[in-house]
Amino acid sequence: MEKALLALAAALAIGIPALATAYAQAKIGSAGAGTVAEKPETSGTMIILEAIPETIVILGFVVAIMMILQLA
Amino acid sequence: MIREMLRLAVWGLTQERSEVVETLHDFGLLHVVSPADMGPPSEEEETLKFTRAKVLGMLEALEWKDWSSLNEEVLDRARERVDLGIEGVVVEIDRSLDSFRHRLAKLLEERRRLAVSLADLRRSHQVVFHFIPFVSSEDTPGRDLSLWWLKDSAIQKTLSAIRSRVQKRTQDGAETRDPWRFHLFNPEKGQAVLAISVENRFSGEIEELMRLQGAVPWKAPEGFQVGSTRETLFAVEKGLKETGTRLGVLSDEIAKAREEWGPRLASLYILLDEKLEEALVESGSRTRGDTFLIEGWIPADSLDAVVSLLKSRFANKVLVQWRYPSSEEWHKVPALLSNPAATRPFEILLKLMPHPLYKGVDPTTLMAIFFPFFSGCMIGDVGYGVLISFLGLWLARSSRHPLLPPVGKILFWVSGWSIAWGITFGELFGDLGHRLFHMEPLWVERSHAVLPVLIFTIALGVAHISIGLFLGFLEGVRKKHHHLWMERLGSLIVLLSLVGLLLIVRLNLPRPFFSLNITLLVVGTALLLAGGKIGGLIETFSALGNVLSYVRIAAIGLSSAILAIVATRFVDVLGVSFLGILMALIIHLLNFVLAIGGSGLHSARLHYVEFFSKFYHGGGKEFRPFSRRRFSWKKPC
Repeated sequence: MEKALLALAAALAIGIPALATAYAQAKIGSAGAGTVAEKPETSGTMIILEAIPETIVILGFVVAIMMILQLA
Repeated sequence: MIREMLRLAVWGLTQERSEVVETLHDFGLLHVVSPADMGPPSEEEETLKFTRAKVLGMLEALEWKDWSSLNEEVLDRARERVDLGIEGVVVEIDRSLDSFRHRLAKLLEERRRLAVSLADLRRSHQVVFHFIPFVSSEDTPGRDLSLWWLKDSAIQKTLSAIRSRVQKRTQDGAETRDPWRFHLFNPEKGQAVLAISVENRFSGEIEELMRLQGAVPWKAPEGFQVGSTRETLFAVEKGLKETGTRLGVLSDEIAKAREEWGPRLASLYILLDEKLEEALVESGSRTRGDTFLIEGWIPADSLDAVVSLLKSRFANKVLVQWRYPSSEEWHKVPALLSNPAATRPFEILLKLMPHPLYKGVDPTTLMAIFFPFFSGCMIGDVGYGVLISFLGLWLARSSRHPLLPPVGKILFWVSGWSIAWGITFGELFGDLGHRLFHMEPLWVERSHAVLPVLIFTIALGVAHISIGLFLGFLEGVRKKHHHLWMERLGSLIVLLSLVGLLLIVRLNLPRPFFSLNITLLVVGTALLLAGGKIGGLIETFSALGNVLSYVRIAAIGLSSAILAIVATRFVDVLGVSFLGILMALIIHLLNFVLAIGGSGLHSARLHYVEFFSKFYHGGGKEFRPFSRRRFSWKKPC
């Protein structure tokens, strides 16, 4: 039971941030596409803004890996 | 590296200004500085702009886009043809354009008209195509044929009305053949075309009835409504073929004109653009009595060349002065990047960022080291690395777009590190290398040993961020920004001392190490507070987050490795069959595309977000030399 809970927690640790990041990137991406169409010189800034929410998935990934290693 | 610049001032006699400007234009290394109080554009400039726009308009009308085909030879030939003053150039161009403009306008107008006619005919042909058999069979003496547009909803009602009307007139039963027949076709939703064939005696009644039902007679496009319905239908079919053929001939004529006139007009456009630039520089020069002054920035190592050129052409009629920019002027000086051929391709990655400041740091070399290293670590597969090297070679030799060769060269660097990391992780198209050649990892198999790779990437992050913080510290010292250097140095010390503490705990190092680290932590925190106050502490936490962000190298690498293994497993499951190999190839192809795209994007992000934020300050001016359009010519916006 404890192993199952750990596995579920690991899945949630990466799944929830992934969904949240996807939502944030969708919002930033649509706004960014409009901005780049208007001002192509902002493309660098938009890539950065688009990439920022990904960090939270990486942190989720680290937490998930830690949990899975405990399982092993 | 950012090249050292000099402020150059060229004095000369007003009567020789045009020649001096032309010489500087040919030299092509002076970033001209125009005075802020420049007046409105002169009549000459307006004429040049207008003529330039006219030429561009004609190029667009011709749909000529082959700017990359223009070379120096074509431009020089055009220059010789119109080697006149500005007025002469405009007159010459106007004369050239006039002979062509009418011909082009006529061709384009005819093409437009035919295209409209062809679209109409196509729409009509949709109907004609369906009715030709019916109309051919019903086109007999004593019968009348007509085609009607009507709404779908009115079809049943209309047919019933016709039926009852005809039955009423034929109650005596003397008829020998169907008194009326119809054929129906729905060319679009909600609308139908109804063909009705009736005996001549009913035609008037049927027409009246159809109009009462709200039907509209079907008509062929203008010019094709001839004689009987059958003749009209055949005229439409014939017209469609003929119009298509004529349009093809016309398109060929336009293509020929495009081929003949496109490069000529494009050369004229470039010449006009050059003349306009010269006119702008001339009007931007300061005039004092009989003398003029042109000022600008020039790379310091090009000074001797420009001075000897001006002296050889104008002897003592020009006076050249120069000086180094003062530190107050640095923000006004254009920054010209100058890197060795090996690392120059990485300059394109900086194009996505604001241009570096003069006297700022040019991170191109560091990007050339770390970008392919990180990307290669994420890909980490010998097979993919070899494929990327082929792709890189192909792109590096491509001339379709000026961006492709540098991208190809970057990919070539990435491929080298991918192969190196592939050998380290023992991967060749996933575990195919192990299965076929018993390939073993030099270090760890990353699909199984996740933790060592995770720790390694965090160590990479610490190293990369530390370099960034150190560069930020140097920037602060060089520019005498006390807050900046104290904050960056404080962050660096805190980061390294935290890593040290972690190592001491993990490795059980002796107590003196612990005391040393605590001392460093206190010193670092003090510097942080002195440099950036509370903001400095927050900055350090963000630096720790930045370090963790490098875990993505392991995460993306892991997913790439697992996907490659999954691809090979398809052959296990489906056997060495066509389907198994096909599935494996598809998954490998997907993984390959993801590997290139994902590794490039995430490597770039690690640089732009994590690394550059520690030392890089954009907002500099790009070096735009007053030069002739050579191979760098691109399509005008």
